[in-house]
Amino acid sequence: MNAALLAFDVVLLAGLLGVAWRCLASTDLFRAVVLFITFGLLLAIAWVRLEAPDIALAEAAIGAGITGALLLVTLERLKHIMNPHRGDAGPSPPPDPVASDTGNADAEARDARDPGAGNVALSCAPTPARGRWSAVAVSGGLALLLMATLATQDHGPGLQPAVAAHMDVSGVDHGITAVLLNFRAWDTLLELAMVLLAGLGAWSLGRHDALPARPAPGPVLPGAVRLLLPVAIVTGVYLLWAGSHAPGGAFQAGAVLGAAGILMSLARPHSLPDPDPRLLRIGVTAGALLFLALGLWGLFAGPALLTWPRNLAYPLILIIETGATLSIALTLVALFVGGRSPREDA
Amino acid sequence: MIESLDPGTLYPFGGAALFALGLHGLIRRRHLILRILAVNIMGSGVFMVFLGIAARGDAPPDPVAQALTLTGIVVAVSATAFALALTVHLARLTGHAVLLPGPLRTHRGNRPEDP
Repeated sequence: MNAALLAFDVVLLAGLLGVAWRCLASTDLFRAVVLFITFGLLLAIAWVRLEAPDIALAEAAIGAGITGALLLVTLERLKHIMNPHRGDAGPSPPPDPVASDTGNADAEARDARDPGAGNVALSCAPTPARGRWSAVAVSGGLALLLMATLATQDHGPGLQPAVAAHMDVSGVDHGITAVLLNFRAWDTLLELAMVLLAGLGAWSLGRHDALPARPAPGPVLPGAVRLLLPVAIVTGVYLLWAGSHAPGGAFQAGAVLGAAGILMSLARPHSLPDPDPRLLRIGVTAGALLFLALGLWGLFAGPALLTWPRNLAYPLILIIETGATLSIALTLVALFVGGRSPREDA
Repeated sequence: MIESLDPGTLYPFGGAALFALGLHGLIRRRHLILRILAVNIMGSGVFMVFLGIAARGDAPPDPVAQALTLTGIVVAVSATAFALALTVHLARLTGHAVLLPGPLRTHRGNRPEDP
């Protein structure tokens, strides 16, 4: 049994390293991105082997799913930018964010006639041989140094006993949620601020254009979205609810709801107006602001900044997690759509 | 021998190797998308070292390390999304997604302006 598990670990690690190597050595960007998504899914299996089901859930949903969607839509954008004579999105941002379907259909017809042309933007030159050995020496030397450090390091019990001893004051029954939203709430607040900052940064770069990856109009995508959306919402809310006593929590729930939002933004009819930018802004900032407001309230009413009174800890954590889920999901969709709503400037 | 090679011992070494592989890609590849992928792979290596050390021994794994890794994954996806948005912006201004030495030049040869 032990030998079989050891073999599994070795094969998994070799697979991870091999996929990462092929991904970074690829001259075709599309291939690199697909290999990166594969890498994320293999990584989720590795996290399960390391007894970290929360991280595995987050990696599969965020690391492989959302990052993959972001990378693929970026590749489509680059393709449209670098082939300005084809497609409707030239180097100058398109004036009309709701591009007509006929324009897309024309571009697709041209794509079909000339399948090789679109790949120019998605390929990159192989690296020149000059400097190969110095790069290998630097990274290989660093790897050996890291491994030597890891081999000589002796390991203590870590913080697990300390967390286990204080679980009864945390308000929840799941160690990671207790750490994230009670013992080290500061980290989580700054993390939400980081997500918000990324969204604001993307918005500051300009208005969003029509999604270049928008599939051809047809009944399949809207039908699939109609079936998947309720399932995704129930899964997201369940993950949020389960976070207090089992693997799950705000980030995983936010990623699942964000994926549902991305599907919906792809299937949305062109004629539908963009959501109200004011509501969107409130939704994107709600998580961090709610967290900060309740943390400040803890400064005056409770023991200290970002701490909760013992009897109120559970409801407060649930409220904060709900706000965080909403904000993370909305920000991920906003980052996928890319750029602020045209209605902001109107 | 097999007893000493539990996941907590094996995976940190794999994480170190992943980190070095990502660093090599970051140094060697010029295209910005590949560099973003390389940084993500380096990050995954760091997470693997962290979680591997947290899972060492017979006790339940360290929840603080796992919580920090969860935070790290969300921060990584935010930073990746912003980096991708910057890459698209650069490509829109200059026509390519590679950082070249020298001052930034747009298609039209003038200074980049926000559209």
